[in-house]
Amino acid sequence: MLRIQSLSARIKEGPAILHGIDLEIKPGEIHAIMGPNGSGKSTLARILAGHPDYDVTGGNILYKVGDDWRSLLKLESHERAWLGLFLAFQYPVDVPGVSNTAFLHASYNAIRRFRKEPEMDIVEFRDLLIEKIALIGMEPAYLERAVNLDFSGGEKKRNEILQMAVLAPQLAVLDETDSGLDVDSLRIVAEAVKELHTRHNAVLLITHYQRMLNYITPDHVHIMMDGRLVRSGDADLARSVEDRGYDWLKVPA
Amino acid sequence: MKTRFVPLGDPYTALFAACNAESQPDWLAARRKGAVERLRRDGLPTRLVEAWKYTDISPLAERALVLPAGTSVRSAMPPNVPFWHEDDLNVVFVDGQFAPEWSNAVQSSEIQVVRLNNLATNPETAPSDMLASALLNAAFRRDGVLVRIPAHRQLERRIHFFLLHASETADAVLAPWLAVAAEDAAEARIAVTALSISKASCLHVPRVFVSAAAGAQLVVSQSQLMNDRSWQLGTTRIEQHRDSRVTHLEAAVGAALARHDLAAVLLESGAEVELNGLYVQREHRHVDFHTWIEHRQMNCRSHQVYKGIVDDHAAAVFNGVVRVHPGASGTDGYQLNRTLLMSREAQVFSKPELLIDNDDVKCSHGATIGQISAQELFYLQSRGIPEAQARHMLSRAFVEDVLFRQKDIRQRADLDALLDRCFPVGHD
Repeated sequence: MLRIQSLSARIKEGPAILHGIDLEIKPGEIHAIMGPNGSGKSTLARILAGHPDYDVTGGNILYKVGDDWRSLLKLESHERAWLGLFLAFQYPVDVPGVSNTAFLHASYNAIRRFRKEPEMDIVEFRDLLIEKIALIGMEPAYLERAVNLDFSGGEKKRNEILQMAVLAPQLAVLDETDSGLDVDSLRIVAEAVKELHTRHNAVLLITHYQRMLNYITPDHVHIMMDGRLVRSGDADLARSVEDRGYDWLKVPA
Repeated sequence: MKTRFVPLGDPYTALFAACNAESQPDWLAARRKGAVERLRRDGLPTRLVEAWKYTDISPLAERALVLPAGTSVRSAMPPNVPFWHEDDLNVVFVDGQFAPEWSNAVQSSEIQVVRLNNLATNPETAPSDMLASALLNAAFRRDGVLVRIPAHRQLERRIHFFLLHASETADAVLAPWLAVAAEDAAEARIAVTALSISKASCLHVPRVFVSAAAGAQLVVSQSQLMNDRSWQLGTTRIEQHRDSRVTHLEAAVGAALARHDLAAVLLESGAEVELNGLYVQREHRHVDFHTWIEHRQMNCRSHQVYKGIVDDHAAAVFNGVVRVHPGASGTDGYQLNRTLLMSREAQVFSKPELLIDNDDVKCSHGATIGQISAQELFYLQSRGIPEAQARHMLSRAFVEDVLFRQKDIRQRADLDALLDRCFPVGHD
């Protein structure tokens, strides 16, 4: 479903961050990318979503649409979402003046329009939201509040998962969704992600710690250091990192 | 422009005389006389006068204004007026004249509605406002209404004043006066809607006076939807007594030129006032908000948030004064003005002024002028919302944010509908 090929990228007008990333994700898989701070994990996540602050300097990102592979690099951020890509933000953005409901309604219907499906009216959509919000253990009152405004760190992260539940993406990229979560929130978020995962979709977890992986067992674990994937393995690799840290994986210069 | 004031043209003399010839109580005659003398002596301010630095009303001096004729237009009135609700207590003015036939509030036993001509004394006891806008109202005022809300009454129904501009004659001058006196511990919601039905130009100089007695609680909203040929120079004075609470929200989306001078005077301790404003200005419109909050006594609180969007060649002015008197210890004052600038040609002038004569105060202010946040834009786009729609949502949200502070559901729904007009729905 996703093929990242020799991807290199830098911050616009700034330093290079990624130096040739290769990664393939198939439907039904859960991948985890782990790495120390500053290794380029979040940059990769943002580039997948089309963040405007970065320039791709080499390689490609291919995404399967029907029987075709299309380059995500040619698509705007919203077009990537239409094709089923979702990024749970490391730092979810406050949007004063837009209610959670209005935000998700606009988003949901934009995707339906793209798929040439009829739009859902607000009454029906509210019912859908109330059903989905139970999954992440938040009160329906949050639906009428401005998006993420005055939400706690944990509530913001849960709100990302609510969006994921509503939009039902094919590929969900979770950028450090586990950081800043208390134990209960972590469990709820992890359970929700597991619940939403099927054999038709895929999840890419980006994380600094192994915490989330206590609840979700990835099929593949990749270690990123200095903008490169230096090692790949199964869930045992994550446990090794937990025990030994990252230093032993350093590639000699 | 060298002079600070420009003299009024000759046609004004006849207009003042015509207004003065109508029946009126003695106090109004006296107030009018003072206002006319002042206007004759000084004329109208130019931009050399600090208070009018960004808003030039001096061309009015040469404008051939007329008094609106007749009342025949009234048949075209409500209920086809936006934000008209049958179950509100409606008080309707048409072209500056009270229209009792549309005003169901007169039949209410819960409040008392007194027409200006039947008022023996002026409810505005403070020294007369000498601002040009207020002088013009006093000079041209031909009708008005006082609504009294009895002590301890909790009014279920909203009081809605409509200031309708219906005259098809160009350059009609309309000068309605409305006053609300909330007695001790009374609670009410009040809306004031200034609206052009006509497409002709006019000069609208409404005067609003609100007094909140001890413990009274008022939620007031004022909306300005004048047509794009008209000018509105409004003044509002709010006087608050001990432990009263007033929440005021104004929305300005119309008029070629609109200026509102809003004063809230916290006369006694424990009074709280909240002034919020939103504006959406496009084309060549010009809007100017001057707020004046006066902390006279101890432990009063004031909170102001004004947010707006300025696009095309439009201009917005915000000048907010918080005045803290020497005796006003424990003052808590907050002021914020934020404007979204949507075009290169649009202009914004934001000027906070804190005049503090007491050490024991907590006052803060802020002003920002900016563009749509790139972070917010990306967040929406990453959820499948195309850029144009995202920009539309975020610009509306920028002002909608002010409505999130509005606790009253009907007021909020009305203002939402107002924003629907400003931000027509479209996906791309």
